[in-house]
Amino acid sequence: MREMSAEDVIGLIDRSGLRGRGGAGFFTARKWREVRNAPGEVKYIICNGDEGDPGAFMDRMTLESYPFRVIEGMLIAAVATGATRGICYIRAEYPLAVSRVRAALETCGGAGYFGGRILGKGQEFSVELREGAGAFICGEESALIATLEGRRPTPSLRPPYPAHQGLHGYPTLVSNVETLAFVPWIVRHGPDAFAEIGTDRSRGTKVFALAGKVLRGGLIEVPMGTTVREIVEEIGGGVAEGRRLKAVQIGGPSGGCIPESLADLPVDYESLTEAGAMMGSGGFVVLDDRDCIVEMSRYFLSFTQIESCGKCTPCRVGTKQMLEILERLCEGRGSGEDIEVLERLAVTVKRNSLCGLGRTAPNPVLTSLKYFRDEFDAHINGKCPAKKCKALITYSIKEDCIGCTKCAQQCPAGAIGMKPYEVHEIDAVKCVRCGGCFDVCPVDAVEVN
Amino acid sequence: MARLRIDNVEVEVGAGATLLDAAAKAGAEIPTLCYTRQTGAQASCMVCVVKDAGSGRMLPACSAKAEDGMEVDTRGDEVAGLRRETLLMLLSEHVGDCEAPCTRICPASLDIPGLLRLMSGGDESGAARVAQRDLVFPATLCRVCGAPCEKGCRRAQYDAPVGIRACHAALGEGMPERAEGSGKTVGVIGAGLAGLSAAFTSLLRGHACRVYDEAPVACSSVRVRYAQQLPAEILDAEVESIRRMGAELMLGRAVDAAGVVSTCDAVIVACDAGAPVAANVFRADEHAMPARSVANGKAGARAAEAFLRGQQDQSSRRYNSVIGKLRPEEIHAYGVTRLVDDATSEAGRCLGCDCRKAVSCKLRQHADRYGIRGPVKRHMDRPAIAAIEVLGPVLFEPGKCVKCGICVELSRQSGGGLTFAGRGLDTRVELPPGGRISDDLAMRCAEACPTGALAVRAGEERP
Ligand SMILES: Cc1cc2nc3c(=O)[nH]c(=O)nc-3n(C[C@H](O)[C@H](O)[C@H](O)COP(=O)(O)O)c2cc1C
Ligand code: SF4
Ligand code: SF4
Repeated sequence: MREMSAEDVIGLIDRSGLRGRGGAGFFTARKWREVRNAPGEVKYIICNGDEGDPGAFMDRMTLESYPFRVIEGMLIAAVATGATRGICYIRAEYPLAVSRVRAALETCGGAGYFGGRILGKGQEFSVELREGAGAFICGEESALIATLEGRRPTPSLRPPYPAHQGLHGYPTLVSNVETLAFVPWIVRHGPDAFAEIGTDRSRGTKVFALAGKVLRGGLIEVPMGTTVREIVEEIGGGVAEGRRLKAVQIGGPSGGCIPESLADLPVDYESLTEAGAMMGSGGFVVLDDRDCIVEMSRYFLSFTQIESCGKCTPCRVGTKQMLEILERLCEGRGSGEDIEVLERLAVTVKRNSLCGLGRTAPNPVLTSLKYFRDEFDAHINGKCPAKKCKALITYSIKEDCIGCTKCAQQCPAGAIGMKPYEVHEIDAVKCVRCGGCFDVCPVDAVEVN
Repeated sequence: MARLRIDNVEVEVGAGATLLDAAAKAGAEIPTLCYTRQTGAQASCMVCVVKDAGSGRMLPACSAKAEDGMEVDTRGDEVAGLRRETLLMLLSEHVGDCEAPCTRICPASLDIPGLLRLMSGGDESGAARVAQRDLVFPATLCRVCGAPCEKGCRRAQYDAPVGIRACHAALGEGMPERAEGSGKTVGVIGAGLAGLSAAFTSLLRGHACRVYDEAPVACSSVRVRYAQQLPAEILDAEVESIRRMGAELMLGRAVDAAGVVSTCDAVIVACDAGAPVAANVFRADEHAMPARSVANGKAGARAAEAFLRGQQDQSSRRYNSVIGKLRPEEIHAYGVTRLVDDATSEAGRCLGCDCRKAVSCKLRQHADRYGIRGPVKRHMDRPAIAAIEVLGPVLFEPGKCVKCGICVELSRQSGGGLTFAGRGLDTRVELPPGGRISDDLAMRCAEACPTGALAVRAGEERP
């Protein structure tokens, strides 16, 4: 590093093909060059560790376990971009990450890594730590900058991009934790070692938070281009015995749902976007045949709807309208035109929202509609094919019942009378459809319809 | 400097110009809500969306910068569709009435709250002019009308409806001003309530007017039907005042319809007789309900007026936002700042359910422009009613706020005042606890607010 010029560093990152891991996948070297070329006596680097996506925790893991990698990445980026000030912006709900990064920053400061002559160059750089303002939208770069300036966390139209006009109007590099953590590795091992992994346009590896109906979940790091099926089966150990893979939701609540029929899709930026999903934060939730697609769309949208900052009309109002329609469908109160209206609202929110939150919030709904439209139609007709939506199912006990009374002991609503050695019955009025009896019956005598 | 094409028109704009600036130069009119020159772009309403043909991206014209070589579409189907959908979303969130429920029910659309405000303010003759303008036969109608307006009166949910009919019955005579002469002549066939209402309304708009009828007296059928309630002198006096205003009454002679059509610029047929079909012939049917006859007459005159001025007849089909039924738990919030418990007059009991900006509201104008007919389906629960707040000379009605941010930005520029609170669907404009807003700033916010959310309390917009 001590021998390398800024141009050398940017060239190196360029050759590695590194793209931003914060969601959109912008080429990192191109962004660095923009910041380098933008005029400004002060330039900032912000490490985006706001990770507001539910179920994603790779940035947390990196910040807690490898804070030095991230700081090193920031130092290298500072040399490349000419930045003079750095900010580690960390989600306030990650106290351990905050304290570890704080300690790491102190260590680096004490060891002389910051100050007037970083990495042996005549350049000043230091890093301060700031805690996030506690909302998902604070991870969006223009809203993040607004909070640092003491304003309400609402996004603004880009362009101008932060690279040209960022914090306090100065050129600012906003980069994700994972992106920055890759940088020292690339410098140490050379760009080719990184570029060798992955696909033509998506190089290197990506960390996913594998969850849902797989035998083994957790954080996984895979080469870009690994197929959905490989991740589910080889890494996750497949879905449970007797169950069938139905779909995977990739990219968190802003991502999309990829059906089993497309499971051989390679996981890279372009393929995912084409299928209507996105890399997003790297959420990877596996669904099996007992998961209801309509209910999943409702669940994911309920997150983005709550997190909408409320600034622009389509996202503020449209997500709420969509959510209420999905709630009606799940409760069996859907009406004929609901699906058409839902689709129209989704397109408007996607096309006309101001920032990435609104522009991606409809993805789960749009992909579900694209690949599983018949399940939506079924809900209008009062049926939940996955037998999941409580308002649309009934539990009953077949003649196979051996009268063991386990179900009656289990039932929290007292809907099953205790009748040892007789065939039990469920009082449909009292039943709260928790499925407890279904799970405890030793002879599978409980039936869902 | 940037050179770009807006709807295929080439324009050149200075550095830093927005697509809105460029569109203005190209003569393309883009609807906006959240933009004013003083507050700049807020990029919140997203109604000004245009399409960047190059990237396929939809952009808010108010904040997107004009770039060299851009191809911008401001009126294609996709853009118009998105604007309409976005407006529908704003209207789904909108908790406010454009017109008061009583006015909506009144067959003749009397501006009841406006009239009652004038009355309680002591301007009896002003109130009489409103009654004359809207009802044409105010003295007649208050004797023969069943006052359906009072059934819609929201005050009934607190104590008793305002005695609307009695209020306007108590008014004396008042004649509105005629517009400047247009040089056009409107012929009306039929001198019943509908025909004379059409004639009166046409006169007000500045046209000359001739009324033809075979019967020797005007309004003969009403006279017969309401012989009990309606003294002849009352109706005679009202017919006489229409004549005095300039109507030429040609009664008691056979009517040559074809002749009327060929000698008048526009003709309104207000009788059962079949009339020639022509572009300048309009209808105004008599109705068993007298107030409806008046309404039909006014509508016929409006259609003729639009034809004579070469415009589209919009006024009768304006978008109407409606709150709908108040939920029991909302009744208090609705009325708390509207109720005048110590009203000294009946007119003073009015809650003022209408919108003070029913004419200038940009949301309503855009709804009309994009062909939205109300009331819209909300697809979600209607947001709850929040009480009107009094900000000195200005009223703030939160349900009508589109969260555009203009007043917040004006306040910021003035060093304090209104701010945003909450987020998502609960975003609201408020005076922060302990905060103050000067009368001057409140007035400027009311002026700039695109809807009736902030409105001058004493403001009246209906012409
Ligand atoms: C609603 C929303 C939330 C976001 N949250 C994060 C986040 O938590 N962390 C992150 O790195 N990027 C997040 N982003 C993306 C950032 O705006 C920005 O693109 C990213 O930090 C750039 O880093 P990269 O180039 O390394 O990907 C979010 C974007 C949106 C629209
Ligand atoms: S898209 Fe949603 S989160 Fe983004 S600015 Fe609009 S309301 Fe706020
Ligand atoms: S009250 Fe303020 S934010 Fe609301 S519509 Fe009016 S100007 Fe806009």
